[in-house]
Amino acid sequence: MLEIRSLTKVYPGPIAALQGVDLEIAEGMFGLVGPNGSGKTTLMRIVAGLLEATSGEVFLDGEDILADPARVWSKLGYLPQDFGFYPHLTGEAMLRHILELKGVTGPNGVKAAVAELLEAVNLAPAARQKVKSFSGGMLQRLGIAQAIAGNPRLLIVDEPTAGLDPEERLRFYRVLAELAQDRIVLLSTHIVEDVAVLCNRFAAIRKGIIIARTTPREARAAIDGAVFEGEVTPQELEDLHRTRTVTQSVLVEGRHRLRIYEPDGGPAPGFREVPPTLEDAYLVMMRTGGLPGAVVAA
Amino acid sequence: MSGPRLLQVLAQEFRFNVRRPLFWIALLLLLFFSWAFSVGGMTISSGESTVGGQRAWVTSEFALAQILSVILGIFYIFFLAVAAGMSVIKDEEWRVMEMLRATPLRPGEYVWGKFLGVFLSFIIVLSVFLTGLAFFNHVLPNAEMAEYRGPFALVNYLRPALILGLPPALFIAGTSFALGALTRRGILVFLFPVAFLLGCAYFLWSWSPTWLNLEVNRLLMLVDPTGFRWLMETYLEVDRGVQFYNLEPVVYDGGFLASRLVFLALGVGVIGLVPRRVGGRYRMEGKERGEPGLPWVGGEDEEDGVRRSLASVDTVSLRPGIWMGFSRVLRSEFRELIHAPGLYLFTPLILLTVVGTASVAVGAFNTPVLLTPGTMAVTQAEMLNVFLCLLLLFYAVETLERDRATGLAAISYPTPVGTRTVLLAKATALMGVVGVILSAAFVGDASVLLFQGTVPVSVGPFVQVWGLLVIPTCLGWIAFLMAVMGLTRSRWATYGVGFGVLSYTIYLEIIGEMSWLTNWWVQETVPWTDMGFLELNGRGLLLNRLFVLSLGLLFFVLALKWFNRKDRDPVGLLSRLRPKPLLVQMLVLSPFLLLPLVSGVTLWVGIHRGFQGDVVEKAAKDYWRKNVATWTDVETPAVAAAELDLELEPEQRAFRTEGRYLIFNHLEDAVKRLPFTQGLTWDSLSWTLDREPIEPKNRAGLWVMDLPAPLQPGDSLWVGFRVKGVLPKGITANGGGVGEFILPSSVVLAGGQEVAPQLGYGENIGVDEDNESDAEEYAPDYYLEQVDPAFGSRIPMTTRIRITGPDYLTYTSVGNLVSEQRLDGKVTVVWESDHPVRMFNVVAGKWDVWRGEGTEIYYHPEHGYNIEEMGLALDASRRWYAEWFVPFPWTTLRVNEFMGIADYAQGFPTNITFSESIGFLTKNDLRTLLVFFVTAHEAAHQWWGNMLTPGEGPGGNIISEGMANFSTLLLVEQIKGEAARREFAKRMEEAYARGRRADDERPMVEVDGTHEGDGRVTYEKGGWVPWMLMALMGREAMLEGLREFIVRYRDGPDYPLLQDQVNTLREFAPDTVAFDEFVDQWYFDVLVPEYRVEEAERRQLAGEEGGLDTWETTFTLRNIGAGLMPVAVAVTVGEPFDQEGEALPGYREARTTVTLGAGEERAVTIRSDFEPERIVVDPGVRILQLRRERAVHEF
Repeated sequence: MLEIRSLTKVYPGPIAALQGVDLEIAEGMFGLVGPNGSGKTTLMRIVAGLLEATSGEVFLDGEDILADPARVWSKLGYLPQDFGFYPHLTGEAMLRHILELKGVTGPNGVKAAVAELLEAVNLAPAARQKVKSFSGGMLQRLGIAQAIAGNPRLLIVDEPTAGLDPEERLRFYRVLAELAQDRIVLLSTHIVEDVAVLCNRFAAIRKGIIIARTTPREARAAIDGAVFEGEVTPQELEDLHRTRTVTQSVLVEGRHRLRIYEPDGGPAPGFREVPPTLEDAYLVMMRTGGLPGAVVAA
Repeated sequence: MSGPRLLQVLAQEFRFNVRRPLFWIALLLLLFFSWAFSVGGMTISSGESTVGGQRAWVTSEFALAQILSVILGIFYIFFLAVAAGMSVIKDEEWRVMEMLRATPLRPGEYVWGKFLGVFLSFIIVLSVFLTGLAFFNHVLPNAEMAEYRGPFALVNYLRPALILGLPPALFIAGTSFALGALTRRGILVFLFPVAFLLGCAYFLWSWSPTWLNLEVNRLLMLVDPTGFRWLMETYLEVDRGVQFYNLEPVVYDGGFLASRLVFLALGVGVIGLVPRRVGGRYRMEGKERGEPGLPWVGGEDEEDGVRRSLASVDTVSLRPGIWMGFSRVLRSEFRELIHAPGLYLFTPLILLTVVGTASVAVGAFNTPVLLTPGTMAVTQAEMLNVFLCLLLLFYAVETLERDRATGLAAISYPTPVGTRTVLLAKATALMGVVGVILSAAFVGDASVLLFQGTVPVSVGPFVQVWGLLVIPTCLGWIAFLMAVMGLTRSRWATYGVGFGVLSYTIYLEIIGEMSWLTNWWVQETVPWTDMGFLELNGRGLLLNRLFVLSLGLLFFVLALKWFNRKDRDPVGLLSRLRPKPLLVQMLVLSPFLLLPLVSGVTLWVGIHRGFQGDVVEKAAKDYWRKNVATWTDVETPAVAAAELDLELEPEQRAFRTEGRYLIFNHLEDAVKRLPFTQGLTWDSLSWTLDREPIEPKNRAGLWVMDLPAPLQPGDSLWVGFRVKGVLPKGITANGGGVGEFILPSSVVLAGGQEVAPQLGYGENIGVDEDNESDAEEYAPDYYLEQVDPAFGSRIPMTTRIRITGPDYLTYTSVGNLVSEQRLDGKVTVVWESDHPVRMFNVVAGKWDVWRGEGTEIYYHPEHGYNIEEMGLALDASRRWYAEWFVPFPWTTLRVNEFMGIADYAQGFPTNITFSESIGFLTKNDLRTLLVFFVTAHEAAHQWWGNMLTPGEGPGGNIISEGMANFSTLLLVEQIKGEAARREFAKRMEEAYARGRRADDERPMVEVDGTHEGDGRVTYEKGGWVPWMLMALMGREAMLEGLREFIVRYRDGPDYPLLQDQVNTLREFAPDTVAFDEFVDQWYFDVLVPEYRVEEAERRQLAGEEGGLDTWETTFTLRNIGAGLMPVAVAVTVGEPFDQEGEALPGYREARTTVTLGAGEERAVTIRSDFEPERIVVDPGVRILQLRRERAVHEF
């Protein structure tokens, strides 16, 4: 169990990056979704023990991460949003270096573990290549390999699909889903689809405040019957943006297909009710500061 | 190229540079130096040292040129090179290249903008330095420096800045920038200024033996980017007089100016190369990452089912223990270091420098020294500390920065290996680099020693010296850098602080303000000696090492606290700065603070109470204050006999003396009081008068004995004393050596004043720069008065010295050994003078003995290398000096070797002392002859100093030292031949030319040793001039005159000055007119010729002299110096002598004689029946002149 209590982080400015965040995250995949700058990475870095919090507490299975992060680093797998490797090392040497720092080994020793991990992320053919020759996707996969090495109790992945193509993203989703079966996986993303696909629970964060702890199903249910779709001209689009809560807008054959959220009144002319998506719910949360009714506890 | 875009890059880079710590530390440091130099931190060695005498201004163009070139070469270069070199690397690390690639910015705009931005910011640093100099020199009042300050002249600042400052700055910045941009390797950027410093400090600026070929020397002048060598060799090496330096502009010759242009062009040119190379590279660079990589087609989707699921890879994470983590990080660090090119570049560079420097090391008279493992280890330890500190600065910073710079920190920081383990492993890896370089240096040294083939290779001294001097320094330095890096979390700040600390340390060294407490890299602290290394400085060094290591431990603990893998929260940081948390922090740190505190305080107290410390300094000052007015010039009776019973405990440095002096009143008046001076560090002193106890009055160390009855002229009495003390007391202030000591392996007591009271007031005790006065000015006819002896007893005395000490040492003193008894591990010897002496000494050592014809050499068993040569010189001295001058009156002439913690030799009667570094460890060949020379010189003091003691007054010491050199010239010619005599005369001439002070030099008859440059007049000119006089008078007349001179003055009571010698010799001169003219010029005036050969041409005259071709050489000979001497000038072909000094048959010359006064010139024509190769002025080396090496023309 990962417990986050009253976590606050203030940067000089002062800028309140996190404002009393409370979360309890059990085994499985937990998503943290929010726009850029909402405090996701700050939260991830604090939980990973890389950033000192201004106040608050974080426990992993009862162990205080903030007081002694080194105690939990052996149980941690971390794939940061922004990272690099020694460019002059080969993929194999690089991974081995990290595994050795993490104290990771396998039944046949660390060398075999490195080979297996590289094989699993299909970097075995490039094991002897220098890291500086790796493509973005290869680097990301090397990052993933090091993150899950050692069977970590807590896996933190911060914007993990940023450098992956759609096919790779799907594969990564599956890996994460599999990994989440017997550990805590904390996924930070601003891509709602990631959460929709992977997480049975998630929290939405905006300006350092958790504005919702819920499941995708509950989030969609909360706005069920209040989402409408219709097509408008560019002139009408302006008006609707001013007067309604637009959740999605797509240009189709010269006309704008819009989804709007209307919790109280009827739909605009030409709009029809549609089943809500998680993205609708997310945008409603971001625009309105929450979902209708009480926030559903995750 | 777009101007706005270039300006945008320039402005951005400039703004970045002027905000970072590196810039500000450089600025503040140079501002500090501008103040330090304005108060005399560096002045030109010229001018007069007397009150009111003309001083070399610190504001002259020469002074500013010198300061600027040194500042550039030592301090400024590191900041500039690192800032420029890292400019592009930094962009790459910050990953802005990708962004720039997507803009219209062209490579040229980027490169020039970056370079100009960084260069401009450091031009500001240089400008602030110059402005600071001008401000501190001319605006800020400083009464003490008034006489060193000339009027403000902007050109004095601007011209050196433009000619000496700008070209090297541009060259350094351009080269470093290009290195960084082209290689993207920080190590090369760092290597460049280190190599530059090594090249300058240890070669270009310092290696200039006089035998160096002029063309090579000229080339070296031109390749020195700082221009310092050119300045030294062209203007400063031989003093041109203070008026010249103060008022004349620096005239830059065409070749030098061209070299400046070349450096400018190189700086610009190398930048010009960068856009094309880098441009292509950084345009293409994205391709590597943009290429489609391996797709992720594996995983559980793999149809063949071979590839495993990532989640199913069976791995386990075990928190590594300290040792496991340490070994893993260490292995990784070693791998990084081994793969870094720095090690392969630095190691040969350092090796080349340390081994190269050792190989060309020169001692006295620019002569090569005999290399031994110990001397090499010590000399190189100092260099290695400098190099390794610079290297470690780079490696430590980059090692600690590596994860952050590459972005791996986000992954590697949250791993379970503890910070303590990581830092410890990194420090160990850095020490591994130290180990590699030390090993390489040892291999190099061993090769040099094997090549030398004289002294066997031995590992012990290297382990001992480097283990003590290098390893702790490196450990402390690494810990310090880690702490700074942890605190600042900035590579630039750490570089800045590191360079700042190194620069300030060098500055302290330059101004001579180092002590054991500040000398953390132990420069010039522990001279090597094979006879007992560390016996003198062991305790000081040990405390210093403890201090450095304990500071290192503290810094390491601080690094652990500060080197946070977790980014600090500002609010949390503030809360930790509250009193209570701070107190807790201090308590936690207190054990680590305590260690450096205790060792530092112990060291300070040791320095304070030691024989070079404040306590002794105050005692000396009190002695001076209390007695100077009362006792200066008070005449005292003489010691007619000295009997000492000296008990030595060398292991404790202790001595007990029980002795007595027979005081004889040789004066015309009765004496009522007797003053005695005690040693300032003695523990106890008691007195007897004619065997009865007496309590003299202690006047701050001057004991004044009121006699019960006046001592009448011709009467005598016995004064007895008991003394107890240690010598030297406590630790040295900053290592180094001492002249007199009682140490377990060697004892030197010169004159006895350190172990027995001295009769009279010591006029030099307590005199330093705060209370020193101009020396006494003597009337021209002072020599006509009755003059006291310059040293030693006023009348010849007898001595009986009884020495008791451990029997593993051999003890010698003046005279003959009359008894020796051994009992219970102790030996007691008695030495008695068999003929009266004026001084005595006591020497002890663990020796072997060489015996010659009435001569002996007591030497360290491992130092037999030059014994044959020394024995030859000693035997020859005894024989020939006795034949030329007067017979040797004592039984034995003995040389004793003492440990090389002092570099001197001293010719006490019968018992000469030689440091091991003089003679015993000198490379001996025809060019150096140092072994022969120093032995012959010291032996000559038996005649010139002991048998004939000079008077105390102007020119007196020339009778001792100058005549000893003259005697040596005679002996060298007699034993070694003409070639050796010429070489030796050239070495003396060169030492005189380089050491003289043109403005401060006085005629020889006025030289009293109180002015700068007097030493060189006394020794070298004082030896050369009698040689020229001998050529004028004739050899036999000269020697006859000298014999008469000795006989006339040897027994006093009037002791001779130089005029007395001249007057005596005049009686033997065949041509008194020529004699007087010569004496007027060389003894009563300062006129030294300096010749130049100009407009030289040679042509063949066909068909003359029976068909043989005849050559006619025409040239102009100028005397640009002073004086009027007939000088031979010759056209020559071939070399006159071979390496062994044998005349070569192929040498031919045709000569004529020319007499030129000051500034005169004459057209000279010489015909020869051979084709001349060169024109040589004074081919026989018979006229003392300046810059002889330039009085040559090579065809």
